Amino acid sequence: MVFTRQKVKKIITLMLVGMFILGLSFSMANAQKISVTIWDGFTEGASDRACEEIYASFEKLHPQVQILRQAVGTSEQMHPLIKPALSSGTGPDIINDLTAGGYWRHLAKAGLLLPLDTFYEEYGWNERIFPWSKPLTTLGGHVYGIADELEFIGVYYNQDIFKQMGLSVPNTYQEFLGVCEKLKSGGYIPIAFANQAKWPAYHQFSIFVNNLIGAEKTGEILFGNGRWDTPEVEKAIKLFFVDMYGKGYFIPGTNGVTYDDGNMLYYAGRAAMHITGTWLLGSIEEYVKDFETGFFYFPSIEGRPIAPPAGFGSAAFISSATARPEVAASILNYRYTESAARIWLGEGKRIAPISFDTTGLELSPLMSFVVQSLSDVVEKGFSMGYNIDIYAPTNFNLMQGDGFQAVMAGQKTPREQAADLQTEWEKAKEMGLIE
Amino acid sequence: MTRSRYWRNNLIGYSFIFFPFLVYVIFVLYPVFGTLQLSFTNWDGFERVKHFVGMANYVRMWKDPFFLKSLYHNLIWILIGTSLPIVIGLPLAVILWSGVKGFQVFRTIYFMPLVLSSVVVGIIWGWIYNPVFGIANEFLRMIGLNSLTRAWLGDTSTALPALIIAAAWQYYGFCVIIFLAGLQNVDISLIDAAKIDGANSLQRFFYVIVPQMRNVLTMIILYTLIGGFKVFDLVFVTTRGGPAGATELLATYLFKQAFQINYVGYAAAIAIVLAFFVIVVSVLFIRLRERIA
Repeated sequence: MVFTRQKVKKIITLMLVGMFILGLSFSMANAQKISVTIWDGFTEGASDRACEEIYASFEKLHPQVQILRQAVGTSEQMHPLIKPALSSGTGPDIINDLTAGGYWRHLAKAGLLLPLDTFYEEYGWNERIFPWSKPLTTLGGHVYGIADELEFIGVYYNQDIFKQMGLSVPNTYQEFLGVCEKLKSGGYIPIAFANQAKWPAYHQFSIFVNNLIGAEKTGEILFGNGRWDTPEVEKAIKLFFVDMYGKGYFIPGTNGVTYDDGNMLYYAGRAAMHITGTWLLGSIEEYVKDFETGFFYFPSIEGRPIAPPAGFGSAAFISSATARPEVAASILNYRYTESAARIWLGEGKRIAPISFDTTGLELSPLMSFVVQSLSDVVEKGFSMGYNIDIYAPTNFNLMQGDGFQAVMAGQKTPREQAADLQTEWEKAKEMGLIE
Repeated sequence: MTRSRYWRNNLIGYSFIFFPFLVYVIFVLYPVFGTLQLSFTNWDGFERVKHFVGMANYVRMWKDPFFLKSLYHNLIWILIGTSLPIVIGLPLAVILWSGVKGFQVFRTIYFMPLVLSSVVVGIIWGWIYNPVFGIANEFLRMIGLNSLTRAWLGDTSTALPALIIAAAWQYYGFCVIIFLAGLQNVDISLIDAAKIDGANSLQRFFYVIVPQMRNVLTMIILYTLIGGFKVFDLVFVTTRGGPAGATELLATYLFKQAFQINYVGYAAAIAIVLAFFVIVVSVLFIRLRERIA
């Protein structure tokens, strides 16, 4: 076949026209679609993949909806962006943000978030979603979001080191100290506590407060008229930030070591235990190949019942400026169905706030343990404590961060820190940030 | 010249400066005056209404121990952080200028840290200072100075100096390059004359070279001075103002107030005071230098 110049011209023209028609029909098809924008902080591999999968399956079921998802990053990156975006009415339709510090409360107070009370009724979320997640996203009598990522805080431990040193899982605080001492003398860092970012200290505080005064009294401080400036809270601060720090059970210079570096020391087998949340499960499964990891809840202190801190790491909200509140709500509704929750757990290693069947999911022994703990909470009424920072306002959390560093540096006493925490709590109450 | 002819003759000139001026108004003047306006309110960054509180934010600032502590840290940063890269950079530039072999290579090596973003520099120095695997402590152990090993960024007494060293490392190469450019204008005949008069190399450096570098020195000092007031990224990446506020600077404190606690009005007042300091210190320095000259 001979290609004359004329023929080539014809072919090119036909191709261009074809491409134009294709492009036009594609853009017309897209123009007919309803776009919903979502900003979230799920940048890490497993959760990012899971989000994509969930939203893709939603789009398959609702071909007229196009989800434009943006994984913005941590709350430090998200907050400076979300504020002007929502205020100017150009922000996303759905926002998924960390619950810690209660940044959403500021947005809700300013009328930038949509109250979801009617959708809770319409979609039956009141029945389907764990009712104890609701107070976390409630302000002024309205519920503004759906709390997500059920998390526990406990102790990961290197089973190989424990076996090698003849250690067993401690049942009491004294036994725990004994384990730390043996690990230290064996040349290991007992606890991979790395506090440069300051927030890891929040979780240690939560463990000690809950285990010392119990979940009920902790709840009274968070939701009632309890106080932080009490001898029990002072003791909680002292046990971890003065006593254990003084005995050298943490990474040396813990206040200058990043959380990621702390994780590395655990993954590399240099630190034998890591007191942190179940959000690290995915990374531990991905990076730890040379030893087995076990998990236990921080043991009883002075014979009191344990109350491991639990909470919801993030929550989903709808912008009050959205032009498509029904579509946004239907996306949230899908996110918290059984099929989406299975993807969220199986792929994302995160737990949705609903009861669902995990049969058939390939879960590691560690993840199975966490899921079992959750069903114990739901079915057997096993008492979990409160992860304080997710219920607390930002000013309180900042005082936690700076204050605990100061206590470890010997610049502040536990009593002074407890008093400062109470002051910040009262300030937040005055500002209407605490119910 | 009549007024209309003046405008006709200069229209093209004005049209050239109009757009840059417009950009300046939109992106500099408007935000500056907006910040000034916010500094008299207690706005939290969300509410539609901004309540006027007069000078309350400014009064509060001088009673706020965290603000005063941050200001003190900034002053230390400015004093040491300004002088250190200059003290290192100027002699290095003179040595290179005097005809050292491998001039290009050294110049590139010295300048390299400046090409890196402060975030990268922060991560690198975070590893260097890491108390468990950092090379700073490894080096001290290697030469038998175990007693000096410490958690450089985790210790309240060493965190700030450690960060200033990291900042000086990033910045001294820039000083070397600027000084090298300035040295091209140094009058060699004066150096030769000083040599004939019997001045040794130190005397030639201090009495002949440095006075001729006055303008370059002024520029560098001003630049580092202003930089010293607005340091943020390096601190934020490495310590976030910790441990226990030991490295809190005005910019990190301002960020915390504006974007974490949402005291936007108060943060705006801090920003205005910060700008005021920069302007006052810069003007004073230039006046002082002119007087000495």
